[in-house]
Amino acid sequence: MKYIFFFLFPFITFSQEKVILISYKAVYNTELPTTKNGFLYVSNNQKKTIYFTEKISKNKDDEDQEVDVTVRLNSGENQYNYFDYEKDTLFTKDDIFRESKIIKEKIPRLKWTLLEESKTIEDVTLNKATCYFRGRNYIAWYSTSTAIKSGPWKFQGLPGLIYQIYDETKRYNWFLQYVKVANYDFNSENLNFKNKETISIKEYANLKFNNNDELDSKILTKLPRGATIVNQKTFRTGFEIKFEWEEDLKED
Amino acid sequence: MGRRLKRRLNFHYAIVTVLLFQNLLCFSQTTISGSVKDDTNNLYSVSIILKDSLSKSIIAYTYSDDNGNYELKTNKLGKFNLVFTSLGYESKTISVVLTEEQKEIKTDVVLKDKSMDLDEVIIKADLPMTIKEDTISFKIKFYKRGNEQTVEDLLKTIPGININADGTIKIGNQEIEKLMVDGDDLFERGYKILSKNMPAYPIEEVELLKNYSNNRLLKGVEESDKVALNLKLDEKSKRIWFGNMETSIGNDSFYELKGNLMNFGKKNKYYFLTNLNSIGYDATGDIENLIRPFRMNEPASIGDNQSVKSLLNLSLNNLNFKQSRTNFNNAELVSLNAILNPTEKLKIKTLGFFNWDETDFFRNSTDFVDVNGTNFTNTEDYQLQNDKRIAFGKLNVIYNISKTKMLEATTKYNDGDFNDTSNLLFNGNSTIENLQHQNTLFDQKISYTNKFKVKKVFLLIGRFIDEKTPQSYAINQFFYQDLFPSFNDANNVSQNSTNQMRFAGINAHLLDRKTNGHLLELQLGNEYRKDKLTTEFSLLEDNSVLNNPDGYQNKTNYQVNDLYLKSKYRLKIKDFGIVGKLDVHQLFNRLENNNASSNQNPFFINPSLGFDWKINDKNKITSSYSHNTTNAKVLDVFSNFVLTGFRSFSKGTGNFNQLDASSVVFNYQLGNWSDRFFANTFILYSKNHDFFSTNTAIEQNFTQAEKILIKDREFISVNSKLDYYFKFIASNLKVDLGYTKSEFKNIVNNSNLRLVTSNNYNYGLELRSGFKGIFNYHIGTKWTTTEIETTINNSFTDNVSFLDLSFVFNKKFDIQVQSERYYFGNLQTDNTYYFLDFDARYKLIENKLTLGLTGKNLFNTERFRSFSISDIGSATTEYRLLPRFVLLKLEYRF
Repeated sequence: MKYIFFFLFPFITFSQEKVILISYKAVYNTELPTTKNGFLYVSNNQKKTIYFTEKISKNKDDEDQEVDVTVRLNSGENQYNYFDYEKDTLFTKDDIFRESKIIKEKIPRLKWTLLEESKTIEDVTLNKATCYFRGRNYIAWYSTSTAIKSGPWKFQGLPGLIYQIYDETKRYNWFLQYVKVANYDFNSENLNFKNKETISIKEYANLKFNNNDELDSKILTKLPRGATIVNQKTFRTGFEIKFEWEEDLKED
Repeated sequence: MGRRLKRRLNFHYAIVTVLLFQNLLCFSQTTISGSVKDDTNNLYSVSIILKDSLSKSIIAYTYSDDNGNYELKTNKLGKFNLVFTSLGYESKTISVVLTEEQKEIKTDVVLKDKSMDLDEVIIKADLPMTIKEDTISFKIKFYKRGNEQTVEDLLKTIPGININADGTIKIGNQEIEKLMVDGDDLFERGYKILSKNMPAYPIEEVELLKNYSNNRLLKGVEESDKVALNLKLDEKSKRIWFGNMETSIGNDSFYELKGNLMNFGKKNKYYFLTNLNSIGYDATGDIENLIRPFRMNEPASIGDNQSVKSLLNLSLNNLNFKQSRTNFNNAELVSLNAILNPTEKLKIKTLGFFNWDETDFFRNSTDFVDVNGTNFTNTEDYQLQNDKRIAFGKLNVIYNISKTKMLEATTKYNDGDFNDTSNLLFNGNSTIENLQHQNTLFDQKISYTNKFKVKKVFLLIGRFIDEKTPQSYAINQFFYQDLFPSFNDANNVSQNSTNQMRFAGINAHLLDRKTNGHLLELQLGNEYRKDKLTTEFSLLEDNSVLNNPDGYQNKTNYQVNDLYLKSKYRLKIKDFGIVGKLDVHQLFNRLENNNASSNQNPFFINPSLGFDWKINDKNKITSSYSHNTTNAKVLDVFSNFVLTGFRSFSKGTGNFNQLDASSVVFNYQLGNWSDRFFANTFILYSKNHDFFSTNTAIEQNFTQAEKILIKDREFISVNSKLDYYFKFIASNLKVDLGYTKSEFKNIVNNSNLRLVTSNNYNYGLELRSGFKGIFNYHIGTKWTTTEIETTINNSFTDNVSFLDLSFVFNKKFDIQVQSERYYFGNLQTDNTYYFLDFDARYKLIENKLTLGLTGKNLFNTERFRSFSISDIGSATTEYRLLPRFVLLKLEYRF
């Protein structure tokens, strides 16, 4: 037994590699507005990245504390996006009706439109880019001086680090807070999805919205006499409200 | 291809063979490719950006692949820079010239190591939203699109805020409590006047306040799930005037004129409102929530339920359909409101309004009385004209002594003058009733709040109310010959009365939020109320008083002093909550009836226990039990008869009484409101151990009712509501089932104590669509069966159905159509009535000018008959309705 321990120990410590930690402030203007700290860990060769968000406690004290991701992942509470560029896969952990699921999909190819518009924040020139992704139009401000193609959540593929990104209605917003060097173990067992149950993005969409598609009309129809809603909204909520295959259907 | 070219510092172009036929396929597309490496390895994820050499705009970009290779394509020509950047390396720029001839450019680069200098890169983001405990602030500049006209438009751009078509503002599913401007609130729940009219430009920030408390010091201590919004004005913005005007003109001189005018500055805010109409609309409803803000379970409420009840009332009784249909009116209302902030610590709010109204009301009724061998039929042809004039003023001063102490004083004054005249044909006799009455109210309240610890608040409240309602009533007929046989010459009667109330109360209230979240409330108080009731009933011959008959004059002084200690504790363990209440009262009653006085000092305890249990996401139960003892009111204790209508006399018990009652409430909820299936069942059972009933003598021309105290009666009500959403027709079915059984005992015409049981059953169905298109419907029907059992049984079933159609053609144009059908089971003829109303709106200029067309009572139904039953017989009542009218509306916002 002892020998095995000795054998394992150096391996474990060694696996904690130096990586780049990029922190975002996620601002969600949802029905109950929240802000969250987002942490994006980028492996040195940028072949693996993980982004996860953490809820800020009300008393704002622990805002900048370094979070032990491994522990967070084990607790199963968090949502994260794990990119493996070598295998062209994206694993997303998300809660659907309070049940945690891991969604496996190919890395989405975001079709960024680069615009001429630019602005300066603290002496850094930011360029504007837009992108339509799964039902929302996003606006990003990025800097080409830092060659990081990953961003918060599922955003990636811009020619530089994203400083700000938000959807056109400003419901979801991410703001860069800091970039620094940190430790992270990309070889952790938590990121080995071989024996874990995963669902496809289609299954995810079905689970999340299909039962739910009529929610708006459902609520509407339960109102008492005299109560009316003239402008109806789509009641699909969340980041992703329309998927690729649904776009196809519409074009038909 | 994979061949290595020169290493490092190669700023020159690499020209590779031009393939002719590639040129043919893709016209002027140039491919730039190559590899990137450092001293030893191929580099992955190096960003390669092709920039215009002058404008620096990005033409194309890519990242190097696993083998360090890259490929870029462009169809632009000219001078460009190719920029290579990677973390941990120095970036490199290579200039390239793209010409039409060159179809492929190969550039291999080697990047130089550079230590990562990433620490301390911290960006101070100017966040559009900040959260500080329960306050969420939105900076408007991040949200506005620039075309917002009104506050409502502006709020719509903030994603978490939902605004219904009618202007109701909701956070999620919950309506906001108030909409403030710089912390000042002029409108309470009537905030739509503000949100729909105030221009958006002076607003800099919107604050969303969660767990909101009306008293700032109670925040976080009292139980609250309220939400409110606060608009913060731009420092620069000067005083601004804004408002709107709505005029409606219709046939037969029906009209309505509404106006709102506001002026908001940083320090002072003013609001003027006016409404003139003849379409049956009660405009005081618009400011009702300013006069008497409705606040449930609010600490510092003392004396809120103290008021004088009038003996006599000539206004119409409630109808089971829209009251505006029978209200022939001519109302004028003007209201002036202001908030002044003379210093940081002082806030003064004033509210005043004047209301003039002239209403007419027409009714024909036939009463069949059949009780204990007495039976007769009375017919009434009744025309009522009410004239009223009301002046109301309210002054509210808030002085913030310090961060934890606050003093608030509210003074109210009301002066009402009413003149009601009825023209009555009673069994063919022409009768004129005249009732002149006044209401004078003075109300002063002072409260002191001290948050002496973080989670502990002490309130001290004092209140004084003085209210008077003198009434002078005259009937130009003498129907009471049988009662006063010796007065053969009497030909008319009158009654003068004054009913005065004086209330003084003091209350000390402690709220203690424990560290575990439990809330303890203790109140110690003393409330004193003195009532003076004098009535003088006279028999007259023309203008001379013949007699003031004995037994029909009252001089009652009733004093109640209530010394109490109230305690309340709320305990929450996981999904289980318990609320326990214990109120201890020591009363000191004194009653003087016609110069005979007596005292009584009762002591009683009112306990109550409730729990709520969330079994799981789908099942919720709440239940409570309470025992209540209430003290008799002045209108229960006077000893002689008073006239309460043209043919009714009543009198109190002449004694002290306390009434005991117990009740149990149970509620079970299955599913959630937004689920496909949702059901809620509510059961209420109450038992009155003692209650007031009447011993009534009924004659054709008059009734005399005497209050008596009876033991034991029961009441049970069961109500179930079910909702089921049908996907395939996108409609929701609502089923509403109700059953109520109540019983009481009374004496009529010297009968024995008889038991009167009434059973009510109602069952209704509704179907409402949720289509995405322009059309939607809402259809429903409801049956109500009423059954009264005494010595005889009497029952009938009514049905009310409706069909509403909605057409929303686009944002500018919509039409709403409402139709109703009433069916009265017991009427032989004319038992079915149809109504049709519609409303069309067209926005000529968004947020500026709206045109509307409203039609009411399009079938021009002139009369409406309804049927009712009671323990002594049945009645058919016919009301005259406002005729068909169509209004053309013009709304202008400035």
